[in-house]
This record gives sequence, structure tokens and C-alpha cells, in this order.
Amino acid sequence: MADEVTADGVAGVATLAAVHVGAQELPELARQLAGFLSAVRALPCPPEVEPMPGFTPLEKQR
Amino acid sequence: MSADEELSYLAIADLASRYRRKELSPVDVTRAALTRIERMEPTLNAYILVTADRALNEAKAAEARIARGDAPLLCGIPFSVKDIFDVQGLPLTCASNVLKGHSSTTTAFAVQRLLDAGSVLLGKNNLLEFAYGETHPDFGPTRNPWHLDRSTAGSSTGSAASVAAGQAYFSLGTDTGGSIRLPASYCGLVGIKPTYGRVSRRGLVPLCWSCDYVGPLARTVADAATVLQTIAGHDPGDPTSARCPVPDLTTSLKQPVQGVRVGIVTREFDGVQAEVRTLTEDAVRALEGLGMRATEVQTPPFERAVVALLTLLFVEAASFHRTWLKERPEGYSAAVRDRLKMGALIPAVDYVHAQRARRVFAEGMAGVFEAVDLLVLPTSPGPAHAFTEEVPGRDFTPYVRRTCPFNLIGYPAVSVPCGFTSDGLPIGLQLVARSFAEDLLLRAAHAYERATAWHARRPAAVA
Repeated sequence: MADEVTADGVAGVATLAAVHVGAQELPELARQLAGFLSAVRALPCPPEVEPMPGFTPLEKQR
Repeated sequence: MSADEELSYLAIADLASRYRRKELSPVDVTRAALTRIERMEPTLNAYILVTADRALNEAKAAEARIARGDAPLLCGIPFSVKDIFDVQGLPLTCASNVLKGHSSTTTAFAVQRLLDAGSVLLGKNNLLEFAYGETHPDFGPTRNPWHLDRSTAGSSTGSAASVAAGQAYFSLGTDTGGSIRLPASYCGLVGIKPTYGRVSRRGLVPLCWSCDYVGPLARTVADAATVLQTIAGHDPGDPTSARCPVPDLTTSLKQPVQGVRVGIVTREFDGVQAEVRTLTEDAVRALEGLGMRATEVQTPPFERAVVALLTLLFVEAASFHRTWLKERPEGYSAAVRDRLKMGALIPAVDYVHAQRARRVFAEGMAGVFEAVDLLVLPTSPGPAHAFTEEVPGRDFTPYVRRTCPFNLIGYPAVSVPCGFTSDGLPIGLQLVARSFAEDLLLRAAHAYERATAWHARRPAAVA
């Protein structure tokens, strides 16, 4: 759950993503990520819907 | 208005016509534009680079071409480009120290189209750093010609200021969440975000591949249509470039608009400042007065589109900047660096979830467009805000709420001036059409523009 995003958790993901995040940055980054991810995960989406990564020729013709 | 002012604000067709009648020379007009830039900079801070010698050489070549009688309308017309486009032999900064010392070895497709038409490049415009919502302190903010203590919005800051101040006759910008339309609204201009695939993105430093668009900022719909006509069309060098034929956009401006079905996105009239709402409602009545049929429509919630777009934007930007963020993080402003770090930490499943939400929103909007031909809504929630309101890292979602949904789904949109606040700041009206219907979109915008006089006002702050 997004509200379980912690500074330690963010530090682990940052290591995995090879992104340098200083110790003093972690709490604020964790707070921002928690808020944002909860908004993303609240986006309603029926299970049968496929991703729309960009625009296919079919969609371009609409 | 002085003769210098009058010359600086001529419409492209008028200027081209005077060139052909030999009443004006591209060299003299370019020289006047360069003088105006020199006089207004650094107050406006609209330019990162002014290419004066190059511009005068291009103007001389344009003059010769016009004399031969085979010149397109844009030949000899001075313009500028956001410094996010490659122009061979010129520095490219994206208003960031990350690219310090970099020069482009190629020219962006859209810029090349304009140069091939004989347009005269005045220079490269200031912008928000990498078009990512923040001013880099070393490049500084661009000031709004309508009020020097106000923002131009972003990210095409210098492009908008330059055209509004009568320096350039048009400018090329980019729009990932509203970065053409919002500066157009703040600066009293016409700004077009075309359909995805309509204009090649080759030679543009990307922010978010699936939501980036190239388009014009100009002072009238006809000027903007002329520029779009020139830069639109298939580019085999851009894998997302569409093969659709480009209609004659300038001729179609003259077609009637009676009976065009306009959907009023009433819900998005809420949450804007009172004067914006009043002016937008006035604009709807003006559209009806032109014979368009306006009805209220219910769209899928825009706040969902904002979250979905920001997810794609955060992640795609982090992907593009990954190497630079690792190797030269000090080149970024702190706010952009923080945003890139956050994007790099968003899990892949959430990115894909946003792509799925994108499809839900796109299908909902396609349903709305079964009943209407256009949508109408405010471009921005208010007029140009004061610089004192700009805090690094601030939440910019209220600003992009009414523009970014159309980046997400590819539809073309235009912002046109629809009035002024009581303290003299311009307001923009946004029209949206279904994909590849730029001809209808611009025809409606042109009809509205002709029924009003907002586009004829000039900013006093730079007079």
C-alpha cells in the first residue's frame, strides 16, 4: 500500500534503481511518493483494460 | 501605435504581401526585430541565444528568393524557437547546465521545415529547465510583456514573451501538459498543440515521449495556421509521425462554422477565477452567435487524466535523464533533480496502471466526441500569476488540469485570447477537436477571433 512507503523502503528502491538519494532527502521523498502513488493506485481501471502506451495507427485515425 | 510598433505586430500575410510589393524588406524587418530584442533584453529574458549575423544572412537570402517570385508565405518572416530544439551549429541548453558546452549537429525536423521555407531564425528562447516546470536559477525567469512582475507560464516561456512583445512574428514551442497553450493564455497569444503524430518530434529533446508535441505560438489564428501548415506532415525519421494527409489549414479558415457542435465542459468552469469564468461564458455565447450549437457535456474526470499523465511524465523523464542524473546531477536545478529522482522510484506496475487509466480516459473522451465536434473550456484557472507565487517544487497540477488531458489522448487543442481581466491581463479560451481535425479546430478559433478584438490589443509594458 502506498501509505506504507517509508524512508527505508525508498532507500532500497533507490539502490535498485541506481539513483543517489541522500539520507536527508529520504523522508520528504517518501512522503511525496506515498501521496502520489496512492493517487495513481486510486485510478479506477476495469481488469480487462489493456495499457495504452502511446498511439497506434488505429488510434491515430480516430 | 508608433510605426516601429505597427511593423512589429504585422500579421504574417500582411508582412509577406508588403515584401512582394517591395514596400518592406526582410533585411530591414529582421534588423528592426533584432533592435527590439536588444532593447527589451535582459528585462524580458526571452532569449538564451540571439543569432543576429545568421538572421541577417538568412534575411538577405529571403529577399533574393522573394525577388525571384518562388517564395512561400513564410519566406523572410523572423521567428524564434524554444531552446529545446536542435539547430545545427548552435548551442543547445534546454535552460540547464547539464548541457553546458553542447552544440547541435543536426536541425530538428520542424525547424528545418521553417528554414526551408525561408523563415529567418532570430535565436533560441528561454524555457523552464528541460520543459519540466521549473526555472533554473542560472537562466532566470522570462517576464510577461503584459506585466513584468508576472509569469509567462511555461514551459515555452521565452517563445510566448518574444511573440507577445513583438520581437518575433511567431515561435516554435513544445507542449507536454500545456506548455504551448498556457503561455499563450498568459501572454494573449494563439497557441496550438496539434494532434499526436501531426508534427514530427525529431530533433526535440524529449520530456515525455508519449505526451510531447511541437506547435506554434503566434498572434493570430491565421498566423498559427500558416506555421502549422508548414511544419506538419509525415517524417519517416520519427516513428510516431502519422501518415495522414495534412488539410489546407489556411484555406479552411474561410469555411463556415454554422452548425458546428460545441460541447461545453461546464464542470471545468468551476474552480477558475471569477473573471475567467465570465469571459469564458461570454466566449461560449459568441460561438453560439456565430451559428455553432453549444451543449453541456460530461467528460471523464480530468483529475484522473492529470494523475495518469504525471505518472507517465515522471517515469519517462526519469528514463530519458537517467544517465545525466547519474553523471552530472549538479547541472540540474534542485527542483528538477528532485522530480527526476521521484520518477525513477515509481514502480513499473504503477506506470502500467497509468497507461491503462489512459485508455479508460481516452475511450471516455471518444464517447464524448460522438455527440460534439469541439470542446470548449478555459485554458488556465486564472491570468498570469505573480512571480512571488512561484515556489520551487510547487504543485503545478492546478495549472495543467485543463490542458494536460488532451496531451494524454492525442487530440489537438488551441488557446485563443478571449478577454482581459480588470487589471489588464489576457485570458485564453481553449478549443479541442478530435484527432486530425485541426482544420475544423482552427476554423472555429478563427471565426471566434474575427468576432472579437482581443487579439488586437498590445502589451503596454514593453511599448
